[in-house]
Amino acid sequence: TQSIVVQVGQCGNQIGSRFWDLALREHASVSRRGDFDDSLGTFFRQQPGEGQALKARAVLVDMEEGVVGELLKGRLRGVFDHSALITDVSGSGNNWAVGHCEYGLRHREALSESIRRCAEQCDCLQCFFLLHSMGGGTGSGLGTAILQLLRDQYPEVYRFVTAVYPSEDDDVITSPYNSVLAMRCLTDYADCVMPIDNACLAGIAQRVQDSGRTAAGSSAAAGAAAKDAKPFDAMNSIVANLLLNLTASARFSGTLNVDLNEISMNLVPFPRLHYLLAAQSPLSPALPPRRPDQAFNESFGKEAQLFSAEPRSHLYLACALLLRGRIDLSDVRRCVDRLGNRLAFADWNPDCWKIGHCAVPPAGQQFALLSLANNTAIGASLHLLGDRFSRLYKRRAHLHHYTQVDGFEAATFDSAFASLNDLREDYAALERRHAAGASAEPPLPRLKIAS
Amino acid sequence: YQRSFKAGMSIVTLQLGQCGNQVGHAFFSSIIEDLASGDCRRATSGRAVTETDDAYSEVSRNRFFHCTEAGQQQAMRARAVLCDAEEKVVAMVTEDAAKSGCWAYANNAKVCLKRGSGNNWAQGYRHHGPKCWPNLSEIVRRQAEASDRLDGFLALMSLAGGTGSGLGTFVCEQVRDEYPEANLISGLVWPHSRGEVSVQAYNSVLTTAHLTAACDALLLFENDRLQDACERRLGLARVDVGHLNAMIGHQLGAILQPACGVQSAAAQGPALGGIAASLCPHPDLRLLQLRCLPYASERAKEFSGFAWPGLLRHLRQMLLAGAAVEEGLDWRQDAALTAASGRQRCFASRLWLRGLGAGSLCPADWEQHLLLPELHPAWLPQSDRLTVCRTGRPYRGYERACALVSNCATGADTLDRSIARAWSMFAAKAFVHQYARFGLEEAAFLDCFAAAEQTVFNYRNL
Repeated sequence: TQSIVVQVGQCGNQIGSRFWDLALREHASVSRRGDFDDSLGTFFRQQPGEGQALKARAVLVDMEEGVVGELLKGRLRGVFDHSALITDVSGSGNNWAVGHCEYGLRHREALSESIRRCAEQCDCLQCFFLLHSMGGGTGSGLGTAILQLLRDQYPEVYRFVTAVYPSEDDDVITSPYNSVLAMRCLTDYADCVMPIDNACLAGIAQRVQDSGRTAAGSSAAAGAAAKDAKPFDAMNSIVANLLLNLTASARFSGTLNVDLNEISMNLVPFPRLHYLLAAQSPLSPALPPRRPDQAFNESFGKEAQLFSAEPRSHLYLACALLLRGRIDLSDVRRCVDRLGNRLAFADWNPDCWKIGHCAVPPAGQQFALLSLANNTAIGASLHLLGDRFSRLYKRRAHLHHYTQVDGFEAATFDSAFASLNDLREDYAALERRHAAGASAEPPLPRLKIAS
Repeated sequence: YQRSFKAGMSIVTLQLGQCGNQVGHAFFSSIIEDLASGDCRRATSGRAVTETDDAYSEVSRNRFFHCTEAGQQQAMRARAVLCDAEEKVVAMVTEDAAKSGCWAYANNAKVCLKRGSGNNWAQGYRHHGPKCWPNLSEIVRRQAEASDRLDGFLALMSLAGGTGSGLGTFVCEQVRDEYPEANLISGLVWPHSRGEVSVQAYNSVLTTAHLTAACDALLLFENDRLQDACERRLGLARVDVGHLNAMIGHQLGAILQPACGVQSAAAQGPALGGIAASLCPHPDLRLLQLRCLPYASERAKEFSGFAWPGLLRHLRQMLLAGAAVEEGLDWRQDAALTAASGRQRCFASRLWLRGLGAGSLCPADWEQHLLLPELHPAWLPQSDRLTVCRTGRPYRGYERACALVSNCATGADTLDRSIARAWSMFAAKAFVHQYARFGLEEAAFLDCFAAAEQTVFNYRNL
């Protein structure tokens, strides 16, 4: 099966560029001969003709020319199809309405065309990955317009979103507006969302740097990577590695493969509650290897979280453990048992685990673990976001920037905020129910057979 | 002599889903190893042994493989159908078989879809099943017709996922419709109770509810028990999926390889049919447990020689204690205690004795251990409670080995746990929308819950 990456806006394209770079390296290290095989085919296709160049299954969208322009001048320029680039010049001014309504309308045809061309080159398209940030205008606004388009035109294909949320100290004043407006679209149109927080990424990048080891020993490739490194590369690489770990099982073989459609099936018990908290161990492939027990502990600790949330002190609805590399069944069972005893799961399924194992570890590592948790901790973060939104909205600050955009209705603010609150309430209700225990609501009695 | 043995009855194995294919491969590997161990024996033994072994090999080969002469070599093609919702595992299993050099899967015996079932029973049952059935039914027919006489089908699948369980259920129902005369036994692998897949309880209940109606018998393999058994018997701190699959393969071989005095007409009777007839005559009671002794790593095999009384004594205690392994048994648990607890109420059992001196045992030797009046319902005639198959030909190099398949309440306990978990999820409406997406509505869920509860009820009231 194949997947298409749609990278939108400055942040989305920066993450995307690290992803494609690392994906190529990973496949190169696994398949020495460089043959084109099914695993490469998940994200790449071969250009028919001379040389059979590898082309990424990607659509690049930005309303400014800066980041995409850089990509096309850089090392990866040959990997992208020129028909898969949708750009404009003036940017979205950190305005969701401009991104969603104005550019969403103006570029709808071109986007639809680009995506269709990519989709036709797939034998069996399983998943769209959308990469974007929530706080700005393009990634947030146009990104969600694209998400809606994907839902309308490809309803059977899964939509996974990697969304970078603005931190508390974000310098874009209107980022709460943009985030809440975008969030409503994520709740309504995405199958799974992995929220990411820049503050967490920065923390992890710092820890990696402090640990002092360079990437994958002192190989030439690592040296080259270090030389070309741009600011934020380390942070963006963390997200890129998340995507590689998430898709490893779909790309390579293993005794317990986890396909992408299984992620959605196993982690989303209620349709709108599809926000998954991600954590990885080791924090980066550049760090020293972890023993399985250490890796399990680390990935459930606070420091490995990619979003500002504390899942351990909240309620787990479901949790996936995607393992890569060498680990035995006995080790897995033991670690899961231990974790299960320490973590609080919803009472309707205290063993709500999904375990996957891919035989191929990340480059330079023996073993890695990605955990994806559907956890009510996100409710707390939504609470903060809602507050930041309210503080602005109550004063009607900056609203005219949005309402003056053609196609944007003021009521959208209210419905988006309502959607956010509904979501918060859903998570809170689950926590309340769990806290009250069986006494509050007696369990539904099982069917009885008449004798 | 030669021709008449070729007319023995064949079993076609349906490898459904990732686990089903891996277990199927382990099963055929066990058969091959068993045949090879016979070759060693023949090399050093006298004529009587050789004749028995020759007959055994002949029947076994014909039962599980389609043998053709290709030049000097005899090419053995497994009587198997491989089906999965994606290609990776089937490809791996096919390649591994061919690597062995002595057997392989038939070239045209596989059906793979392009995309997986997402652990979604409904997607497997309502979408992938019907989609691949036209191709699959052709392949099944070809395999069925390649047998002179068809005993029936052995369907292998896991319950946790979406393909084995969902598509597997659909395929079993279709096979039952198209081959009403053939025996159909399914080997079901139950996931670890501490979670491999979030929705495994749903998938397990949905499958069991359907298959108790469609199949003649359900052989239950539980990952928890298998892992425990492998760790103890192989003395390994670390066990992987391959070990579990190898154990299942070994156990299946122990009950499906020829027995009952291979040179007699009985040997040509149906193996699957024998199990179904002796153990599951009643449609309400179809859950079977399998226990097999001894089992050891290659190195330890030499030292695992037991005498028949010892083996039978252990089997009996495993039955009484509801255990999967002969180590760490609770020997205080006696028949009276067990009967009082109602836990191991046993409808019927079938015993296989394979190895030196099996032929010289008399009924009293095994009845004293395994025919326990406290365990069986009073209305079941004595003669129906325990049937025995035996052969002097050792299995896989074990001097003496035995296997016991029981239709007993242990399986109902496992099912009961799954129902409890699935029901609490259903009451909270957890994951229900995922199944609805593929057309499985609440009413269908309720029907399956009812059928599963009925099965548990049947066993609790044996």
